[in-house]
Amino acid sequence: MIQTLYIEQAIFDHPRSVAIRQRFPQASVVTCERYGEVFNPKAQNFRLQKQQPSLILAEKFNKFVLEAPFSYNIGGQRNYYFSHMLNCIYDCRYCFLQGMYRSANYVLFVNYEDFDTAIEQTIKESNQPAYFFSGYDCDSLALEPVTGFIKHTLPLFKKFDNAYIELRTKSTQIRSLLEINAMQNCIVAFSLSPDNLAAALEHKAPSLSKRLDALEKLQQTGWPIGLRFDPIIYCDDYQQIYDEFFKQVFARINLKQLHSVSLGTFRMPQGFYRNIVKLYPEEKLFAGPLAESQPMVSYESELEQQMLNFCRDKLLELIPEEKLFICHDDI
Amino acid sequence: MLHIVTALPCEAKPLIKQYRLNGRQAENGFRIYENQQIRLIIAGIGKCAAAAACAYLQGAEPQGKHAWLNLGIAGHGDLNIGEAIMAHKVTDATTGKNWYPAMPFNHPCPTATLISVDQPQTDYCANTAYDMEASGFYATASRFNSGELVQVFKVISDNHANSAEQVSAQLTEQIIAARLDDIDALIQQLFKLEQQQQMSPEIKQFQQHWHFSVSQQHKLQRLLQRWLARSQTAIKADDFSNKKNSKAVLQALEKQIIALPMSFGDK
Ligand code: SF4
Repeated sequence: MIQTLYIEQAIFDHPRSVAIRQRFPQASVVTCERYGEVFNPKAQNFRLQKQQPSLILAEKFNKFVLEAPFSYNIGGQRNYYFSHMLNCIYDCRYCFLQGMYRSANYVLFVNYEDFDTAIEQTIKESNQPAYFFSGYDCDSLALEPVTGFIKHTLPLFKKFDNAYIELRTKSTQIRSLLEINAMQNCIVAFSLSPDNLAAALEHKAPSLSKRLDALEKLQQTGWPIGLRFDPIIYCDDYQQIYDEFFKQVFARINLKQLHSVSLGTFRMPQGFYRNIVKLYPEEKLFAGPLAESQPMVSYESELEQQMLNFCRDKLLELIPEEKLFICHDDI
Repeated sequence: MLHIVTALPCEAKPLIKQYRLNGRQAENGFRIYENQQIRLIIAGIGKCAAAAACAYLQGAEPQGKHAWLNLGIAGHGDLNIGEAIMAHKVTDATTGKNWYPAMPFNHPCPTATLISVDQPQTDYCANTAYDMEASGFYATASRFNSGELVQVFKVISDNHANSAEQVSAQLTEQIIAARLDDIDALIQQLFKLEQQQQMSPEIKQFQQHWHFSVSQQHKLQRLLQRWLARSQTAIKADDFSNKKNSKAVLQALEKQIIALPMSFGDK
């Protein structure tokens, strides 16, 4: 799977680096001073690299916990995110990471304990419940068998009842969660799309039915579940498609275990959007009714509002209003 | 087009034969051989020569997006004569600067760190190859295209047991010829990657019929891409032959795109 492992010299012998080297014995191991030497150069093509990404092991020195963008909100006033990884093994065509980074290589920061310290400090300093989002620059669970990050971090959250963590995922890698008792302050949030859209746009990600199977297993073992219908994608028959899709999903949901549902249409900062269109000019998603000249590229406003209203109304037939969160203008 | 940079004629000879490259006449400064897909330049020894050769080829076609390959011989601490490596890290011994060529494909041979030195090396560190060109080549060629399309392939010509002084032109030719299968596998990978960068050819048809300003060209390119994405069929400039000017073409094209169906496969 991984052909080349880049490792910062200073963490070459870190126990997690050693374990990962052992996991990929066939990989070429290349040392570097700082991961940016490999990850940041201008002369890189995300699309070409995505065909066979490498793994970069690095150490993070600062900014472990950051304030979350406005749209990351599932009911809390204090919202933060952290990124133990950059980039993702899936390849969703609407993903902003493609436009944000030049490299498709995965970066894993191995100093998990420094994340713990920063998270703990943030919780202690917060006068209100703190919500942490872990799936901002990656999928929270997809590479868990290699990283073990969630397994490492969840015990920290057990100590605090005024702190919540959201694991946002399209993955079925839930074994490490099923092995422990469900935590009421850990929301496993599945990003879901109708089958045809998932097949067309969420490359390499598990199918909708596999995600629903994973969700159901977690639900049965008591984990609070989140549903993320974001981005909603326009197509001519979107009303019929999303109507059927919501019914299909909610047939599997136990409302008592449902923590929150969020909803947002496709949107992307213009700079990232332009980078992605250069990479994938033939992509149908970007040939749709988008207002490309706005600072935040999104569907033309009337259409966007129609789509949001339609989906909101359909969802409110299925869930109470206080569980629904609408995301817009930000990523 | 793939641009291959070698230092010596004996490194180039097996490729010239294999790919039936024809020598270009009356070229000033460098010897160049080419066919429809490959252009090979014999740069001479050293980093400066390799950098100059890259700039020379690109300068002849400044807008070109080509794949680049530095191919030649190298010394290595542990490998046997005739083994091949691709560089996963190129270090310039003088400046300490590093480059990390990304290889998003299956390598035809093992990879190694390659240090570019100014003088032939007699001391070899473990697991490291030495040459005299790659850093000059990489620093320059990676200005012209993204790193995945800029690669370095070396065949080991000297090691602890056989010093660089013993390397003859004949040996060089032999060991490179023996690696032609690996070289071809790499070249095919580079062709594949390069193809993915090519722009839609329809724009030329439109430009032959009407005059588009630079900003209109960008708009036209994007509209043609959107057309192709939504209709999955090619578009002909002739379909717009009743349009008087470029502005009218762009408006008509946009209108037609909006009317195309927008769906994503089966439910
Ligand atoms: S799963 Fe999320 S992080 Fe991964 S590619 Fe898709 S949108 Fe991006």
